[in-house]
Amino acid sequence: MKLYVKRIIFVAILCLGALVVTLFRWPLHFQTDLNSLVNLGTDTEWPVKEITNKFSSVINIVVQSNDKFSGELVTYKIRNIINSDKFNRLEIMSTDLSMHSVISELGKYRNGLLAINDRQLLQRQDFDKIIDNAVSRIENSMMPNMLPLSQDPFLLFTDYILEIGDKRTGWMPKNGLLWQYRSPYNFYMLPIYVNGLNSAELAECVKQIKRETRNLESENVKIYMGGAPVHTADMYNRSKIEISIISFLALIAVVVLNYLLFCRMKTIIPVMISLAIGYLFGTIALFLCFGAPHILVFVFGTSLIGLGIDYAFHFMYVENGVDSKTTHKNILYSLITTIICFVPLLFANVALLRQIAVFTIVGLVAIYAFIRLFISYRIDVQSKQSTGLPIIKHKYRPYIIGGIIMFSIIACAFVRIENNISAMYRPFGDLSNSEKIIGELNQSAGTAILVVRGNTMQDVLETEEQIKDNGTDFFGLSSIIPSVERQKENQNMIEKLYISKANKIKHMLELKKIPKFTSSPEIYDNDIKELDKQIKNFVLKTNNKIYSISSVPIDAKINNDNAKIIIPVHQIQHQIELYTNETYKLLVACGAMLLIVLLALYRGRAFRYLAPPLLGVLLSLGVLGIFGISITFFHLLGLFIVIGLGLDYAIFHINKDTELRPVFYSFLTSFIGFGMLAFTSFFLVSAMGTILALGIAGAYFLSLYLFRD
Amino acid sequence: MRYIVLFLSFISCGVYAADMQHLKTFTENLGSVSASFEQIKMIPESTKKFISTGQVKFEKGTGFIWKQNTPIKQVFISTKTNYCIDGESTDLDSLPYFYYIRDMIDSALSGDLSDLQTIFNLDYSEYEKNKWQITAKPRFDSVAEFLQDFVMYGTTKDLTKIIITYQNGTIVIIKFNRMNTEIKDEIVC
Repeated sequence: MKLYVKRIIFVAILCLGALVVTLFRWPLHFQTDLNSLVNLGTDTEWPVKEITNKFSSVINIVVQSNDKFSGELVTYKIRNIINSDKFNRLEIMSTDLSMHSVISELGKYRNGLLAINDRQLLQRQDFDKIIDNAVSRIENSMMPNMLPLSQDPFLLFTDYILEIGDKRTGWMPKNGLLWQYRSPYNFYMLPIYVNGLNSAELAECVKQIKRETRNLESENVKIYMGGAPVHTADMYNRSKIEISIISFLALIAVVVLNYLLFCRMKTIIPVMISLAIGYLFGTIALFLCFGAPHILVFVFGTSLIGLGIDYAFHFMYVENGVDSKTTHKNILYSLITTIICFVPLLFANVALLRQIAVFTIVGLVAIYAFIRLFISYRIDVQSKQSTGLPIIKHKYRPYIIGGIIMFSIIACAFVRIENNISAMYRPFGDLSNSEKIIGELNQSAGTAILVVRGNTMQDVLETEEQIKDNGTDFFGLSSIIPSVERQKENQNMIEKLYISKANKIKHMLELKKIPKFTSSPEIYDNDIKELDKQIKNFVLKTNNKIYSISSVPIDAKINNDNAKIIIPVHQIQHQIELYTNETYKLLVACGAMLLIVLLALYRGRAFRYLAPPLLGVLLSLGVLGIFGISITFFHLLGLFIVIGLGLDYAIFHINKDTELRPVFYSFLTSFIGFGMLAFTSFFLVSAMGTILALGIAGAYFLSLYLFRD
Repeated sequence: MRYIVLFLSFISCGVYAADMQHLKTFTENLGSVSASFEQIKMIPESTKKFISTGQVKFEKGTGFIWKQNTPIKQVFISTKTNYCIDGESTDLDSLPYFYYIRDMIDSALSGDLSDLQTIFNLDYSEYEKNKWQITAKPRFDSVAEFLQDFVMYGTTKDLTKIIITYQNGTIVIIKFNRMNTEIKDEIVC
C-alpha cells in the first residue's frame, strides 16, 4: 500500500473517531470521585453502590454561631442563595416541616401507634403501670399531653411521639433548617441534594457557593461545607490545576531536552505533534469505550509522554553510518512489549485499569503509526555514545546484580500493604476540619448503615420490626410508621386496655366522661405528605425491590436474610483488597506474556531483557519499604508502566549498536514527568509518580551499566 | 417546663422601651432571687386541678433551679449550656416544642428582649402604682399551633403570676411568692 493511502486512512480514522465522540458523547463527562474508582456495584443482591451514591450526593452546609440568632440568620441567607435560580440543580432536603402539624396528622392514626415500652407493657397486660405513667406525666410540669385527653387518656400517643424525638439524631427541624445546640455553639445545617451535575459543573457550583457565602462569615459565625460532592469538586479543581502545571512543565522539559539532544528547535514540532496525536487517539478511544472515563486516566496519561517520546527521539536521531533498520526494529519491539504490559489490564475488573490500558495502547499505537507515516525529518548526528560512559566489567556484574537483588528482597520485607482508602486520601485542612465537625454533629462515628429489603413497603417494615423485636434498637422507617400488621396488633391491645381500665383512668384524672375506644385507620407511608421528603431519605427503590436505610451501632449483629449491615469504609477497603490481589495476578500474567514474546523475539537472551524492568520493580518496592512508605493498589498500578518503560530501555541499551543519547533524553523526560507527579497533592497520583520515578530510574541505570553488551 | 421558661424569658430582659418603667425597675433590681411557686394546671376534659408546688431560684446570667416538691419530687436545673433532671444531664432539645422553649431560655439568659420579640407580639401595660402586665401572643403559626398566649403579672419588686393558655384549652397558672431566705442549691449541671 502506498504511503499516501496509509496517511489518508490514518487521518480518516482520527476524523471518524472525533466525529463519533462528538455525536454520541458530547458534552464530555468525567468521573472524579473516589467512589467511581472503587466499583461497589459488584454485589448484585444489595444496591451498595446506589446507597453509597445516595449518601455521596449530599452537600452539608453547617453554620456555627456563638449566639442563636446570628447563626440562624446566616443560614436563612444561605438557604435563599441555594434556592435562587443560579443553583437550580441543587435541592435543600430539609423542608419547612412543621412538627406540630405532623403530630396532629399522626393523631388520626393514634391507636395503631405505640412506643416500644408501652407495647411491652400492653403485651404483659400491665395496665396499671400504663395508668401510673399517664398520671405522673400529667402531673409533671415537664411535658404536656400531645392530644386532648378524650382522645388519648393513657397518653400512649404522647409516649410514641416522645420516643421518636428521643431516637432522632441530634438535629431538630426548625423552619426548614436543621438545628442543634452543642455547647458552647449553636449549629444549623442545610443538607443539599446535588442533582445530575457533572464534575466541572459541580466544581463551579461549589466554588460559587463558597464565594457567595464567604462574606456571611464573621467573628461569631463560621460556615463549614462537607459531603462527598465537595470532595469531588475539590479534587477536580486541584487535579485541573496540577494537570495544567505538570503539562506545562513537562512541555518545557520536552522542549529543552529536545534541544539538548538535537541542538536545534525545529525537531520539537514533529515530537509535539506525535504526542498530541497519541493523546487525541487515546482520548477518543477512551470516550468511545467508556462514556465517562475517570479524570485520573489523563493524569496517568503523562506516562504516554515518556513512552511516546522514546519513539520520536529514536526515529529522528540517526547517527552517521548507522543502519536505521536496527532502530526501527527496536522501536517496534519496544511498542509490542509495552502493549503486552497493558493487555492484561484490559481484562481487569477495575474500570480504571481497563481505561488506562485502552488509553495507553491506542495512544502508543497512534504515536508509532504517526511517526512511521508522517515524520520524514531525520538528523544525522555524530555518535557520542562511547564518551564518558563508565563500563562495569562483566566479571563484577553478577555480584552487583546479586547484591541489588539481596538488598531489594530484604528491603521488601519492610513493605507494608495499605488497603484503607482513608489512608490514601487526605483532604486539605479546611475540608478535613469541616468533615470532622460535621461528622461529630451527625454522630457518624461508630455507626453503620442497616439496609432492609422487601418486595413491598410492608415487607420492609415487618422485617425492621422483627429486627427490633430481636433486640437491635434503631430509628428506622418503622419507628415512624409501623407495619399494618403491627398497627392492627397495637389497636387490639389498646382496645383491651380501654375495656379494662377506662373507668380507672376517668377516676384518676377526674375526666368528665368515660373515654371510649374508637378504632383509627391504618397509616401508610404516603399518608402524610409533609413527611414525604423525610421518608424518601430512608427509602431506595431499585431492582423492583424496596430498601430502607437506617443507622445502627457499628457492632450490631443482625441475623436476617432481608437485612444487611454496610460499613462503607470497610466495603471500599474490601473492594480495594480484591483489586490489589487481582493486580498481583495481572502483574504475573503480564510478566509471563512478556517472557513468551521476548523468547520469541530474542530467544535465549529473553531473560536478559526482562531482568532490568523486573529489578527496577523490585528495587523501587524496596526503596519504598526502607522509607516506610506503604504500598497501595495504585503503586502496583504504576508497576505496569515501570515494566513497559524498563523494557524499552533494556531493548535499546542491551544492543550495543543502538544510540544512547535518545534513550537518555527520553528517560529524562519520563523521569521528570513522573517525578513531578510524585509531588502532587492527590495521593493516588503521587503514589504512582513516586514508584514510576524510582522504577524507571532503576531499570534505566541497571540496563545501561549491568546488562549492556 | 415551658411555663418556667416563659416566666424566665421575661424576668431577665434587659432592654425595654422607655414607657416600660415598672418592668425596667423590676429587671434592674433582679439579681439572684428565690421564690416558692404553686402551679395549677386545668385540662378541659378534666374537672381536676392538677396542682404542683415547690421552689424556684433564678440567678441572672447563670440559670435557674426549679424544685418541684409535690405531687412528685423533681429537680430541674438549666444552665447556659446544659439541662439536668434529678441530677442527670438530659437532652431536652429532642423533645417536640422544645426548641421554642430553648429559644426563650437563651433569650432569658442573654437578657435580650429583642430575641423574644421575634417570636411573640408583646403587649405591655401598667396599672396602679407599681404593677405591670405583659401579654405575649405568638407571631408564627408554628408556635401558635400549640400556644394561644401567655400573660405575666408583676410589680416593680416581684413577679407575681403567669397565666398560659394553650390551643387545646389547657390553662396553667403559676403563682410566685418571693422568699426571704435564698435557696442554697447551686445552679450547676
